[in-house]
Amino acid sequence: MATAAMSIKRRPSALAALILLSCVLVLAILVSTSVGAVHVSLAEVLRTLLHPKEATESGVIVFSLRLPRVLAAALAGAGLAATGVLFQGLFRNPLADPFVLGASGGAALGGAMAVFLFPTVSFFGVGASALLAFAGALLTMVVVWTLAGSRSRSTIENMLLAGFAVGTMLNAGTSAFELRQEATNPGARILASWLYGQIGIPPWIQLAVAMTLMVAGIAVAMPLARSLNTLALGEEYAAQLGVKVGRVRAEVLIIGSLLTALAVSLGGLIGFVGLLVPHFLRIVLGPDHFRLLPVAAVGGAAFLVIADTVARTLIAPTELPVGILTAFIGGPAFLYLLNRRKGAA
Amino acid sequence: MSAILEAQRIDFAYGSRTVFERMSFSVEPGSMTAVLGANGMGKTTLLNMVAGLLRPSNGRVLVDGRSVLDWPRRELSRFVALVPQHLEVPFSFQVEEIVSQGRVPYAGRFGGLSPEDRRQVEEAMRAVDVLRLRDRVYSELSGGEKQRVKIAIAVAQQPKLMLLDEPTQHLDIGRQVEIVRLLRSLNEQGITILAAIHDLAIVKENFRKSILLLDKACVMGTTVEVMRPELIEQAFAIPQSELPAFDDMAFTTPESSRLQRDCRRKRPRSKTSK
Amino acid sequence: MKKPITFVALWLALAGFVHASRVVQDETGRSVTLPDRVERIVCLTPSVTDTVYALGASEQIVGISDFTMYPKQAAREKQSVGDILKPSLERIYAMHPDVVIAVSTLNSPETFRGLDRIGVAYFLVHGRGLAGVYSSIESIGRAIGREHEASALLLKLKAREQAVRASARKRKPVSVFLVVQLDPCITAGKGAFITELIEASGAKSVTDDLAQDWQRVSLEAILPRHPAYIMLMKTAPIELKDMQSRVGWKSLEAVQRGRIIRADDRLQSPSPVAFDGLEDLARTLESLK
Repeated sequence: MATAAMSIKRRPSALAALILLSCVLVLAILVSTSVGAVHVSLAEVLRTLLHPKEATESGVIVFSLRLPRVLAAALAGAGLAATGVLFQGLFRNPLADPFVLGASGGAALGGAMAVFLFPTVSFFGVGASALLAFAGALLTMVVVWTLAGSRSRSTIENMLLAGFAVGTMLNAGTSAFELRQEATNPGARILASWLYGQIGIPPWIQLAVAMTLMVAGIAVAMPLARSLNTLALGEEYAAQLGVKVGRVRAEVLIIGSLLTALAVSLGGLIGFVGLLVPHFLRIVLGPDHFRLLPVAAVGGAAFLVIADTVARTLIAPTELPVGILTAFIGGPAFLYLLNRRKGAA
Repeated sequence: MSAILEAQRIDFAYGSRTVFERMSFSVEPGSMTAVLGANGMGKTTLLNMVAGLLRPSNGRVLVDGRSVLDWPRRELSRFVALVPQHLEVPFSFQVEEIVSQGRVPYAGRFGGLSPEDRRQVEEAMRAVDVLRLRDRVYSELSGGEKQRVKIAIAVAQQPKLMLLDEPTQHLDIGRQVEIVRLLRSLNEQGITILAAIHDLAIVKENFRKSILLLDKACVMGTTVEVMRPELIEQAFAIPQSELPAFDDMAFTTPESSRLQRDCRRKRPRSKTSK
Repeated sequence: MKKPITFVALWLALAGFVHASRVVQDETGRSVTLPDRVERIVCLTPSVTDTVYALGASEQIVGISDFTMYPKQAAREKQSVGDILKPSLERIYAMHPDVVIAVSTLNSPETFRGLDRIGVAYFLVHGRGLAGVYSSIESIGRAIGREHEASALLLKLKAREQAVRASARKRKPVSVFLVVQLDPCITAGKGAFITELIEASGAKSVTDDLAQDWQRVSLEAILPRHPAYIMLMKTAPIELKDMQSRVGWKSLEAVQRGRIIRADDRLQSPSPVAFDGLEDLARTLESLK
């Protein structure tokens, strides 16, 4: 019965995957930067990047308009995919995506509150909006974990229902905020683009801060990823093996919420990236969270850069919010996974 | 020789349901001891308490002469290994990855495996005879194979005391024999074994010592002593006519069985008083 | 493709040295530095486009927004930079405008940030209602160096408004219920431009007390207000029989009697073209007698 085909003999090296996906990411960033309403060839993009001081027309377009957006997509994708790996490990469930669990919704609501309550502080920079987005995501995850994550009731149904309930409340709250304002209010506009999952053009300073926090967050999460492997045996087993389960859980929730908030402040509610990317990488690399985490971050970045490029060229000149595209790809994939797991259970 | 494990007058309750009341027992190093008792008498609770996962409300559990609560967690994990009854693992983790978790108590600050760790994992898999399964996905294994992998994790912990919760349950007779042989060989290598086991025949043939959990308390001694029919009858609440016939056991007299029935009648009263 | 752009860039750089620049205040109080002679204009809303056309500066327009209806030739003649909310900053940049004219309450702050970032000057108008139309004409005239044309246009438009109001005063005001959408029912409130024009034309909107510009209303709230007429936009896909077949709507007297007024879509554009719509509506009301 045990055939060789049933098991994967030697799993591919994570380092090789990391290098390969990094190349894909760089290529995707270059190609994506050359695509847009005004024609800029790939060669021009390269020349511009190599000589950033020369103030040419394509230089302005590349540096002021395209590259920030492409990098925002990359960072958002990295954050969502890394959060997916962390939450899936914590919930011991491949369906635990920050969007599905409601963390993204929590971040959006928090960010929205900041936009309406303290609009003067900052819109997109590292102001009240980013902080409240983080608080919103964290609070949501604590609630969802309390409702569904504790070991006595950690079923798929509970997790999905809790995520659904909290997510719906958050969406309703966000819509209520929107209704309180005139449609012409700047806050309402920002919110609308968040709800659709539209990647904005962030200022360079925001990109730099987001990049720093994201790299730091993922670095801190690496030892946690090892603990998540032990947690796969169950919380009690992990505790018996010396893992400080409560602490690991708190740290995973905090870092996951941070990465989610960063992603939401760059691109709004983009669903299923945290589900699709880890799932496919898990098929190739196996489930080891330590191997998976950095590869998923780079893979998620490449995925979202490509998806955003497709989204803004698919029905050009109108730009499709990338969140709509990922929902069309991710929704069916999610249902497929759900069905397969139910069949196995 | 001092005991490797000693329970001193421990109390434990799940909410209002008392499981142990001033219970004491001890386990000698190098022994192979069975924990017997009816369902709900607290076999799993007892093992979890020794592993430091549950704490008694009163009394102390001493491991190697030191209270379990005073042990640094990782040190305790290197001394005591618990093999739980069930282990379901999500995702397609391979056997080697699962067994490697037994090295977590030895891992450095960033949790990587040293060459020594890898050697110990390999040794553990060899000792438990799961080396040929190392690349197989755990969740696709058979019940007997999973049981072996669980024991391999414990072996990789290099413990002095191994706790096993129903290691032979749900296995066919052939796999049961294999597991018991494995436990005996581990015992011969110096690991003290404390296992909760349902099957009295297995206990009788393989475990020299036994702890029999009665209502809130326990009886301990050699297996032959503990397996007196009147105790077994009381512990498992079996009608006398269906008591398994052990050839070297004396049958109970009518008087003693009446006495035991009286004991049983008292139980509900003591529960309602709680 | 590239060479002309380089040439244009060079030419613009030179032009920057040759022509003196001036600083004007836009309607939000920002100081905007503009060349003395504004040669290239991008209009980010249809109403701005209409206003610039009316000021006779159509030659200077290099880009407009999607869905520009008035004047009719604008959409034919001019290239669009995209919709009001998300115009393509790249296209705007490539057009090398001297100024982008936008509406602070209509275009998005994200667009303004993008324009800041690529260093394109933009001039914001702000106003609401008829007063806003007048002030926008005056401000835009100032921004593009057409002050005289702006004053002349203002005189003409104000005279037209007065004429309509004067004839309206001779009539008894009729109450109308503007139905923008049937299901759910959406109407215009106090702040909407069209509500003010309805009033100017000598009618009274029964929903002129609602707080939001565009608001959902329940029919229950309308019934006791007894509108004499239902007002529909000419392009709205709503027919009398749609309302006659609906519970609730049937009980409105205006529906029972088939009293429908069709209003011109120009009434919705806060720009000179609205005055055509206003006169059209006044004529319709006149013909009711």
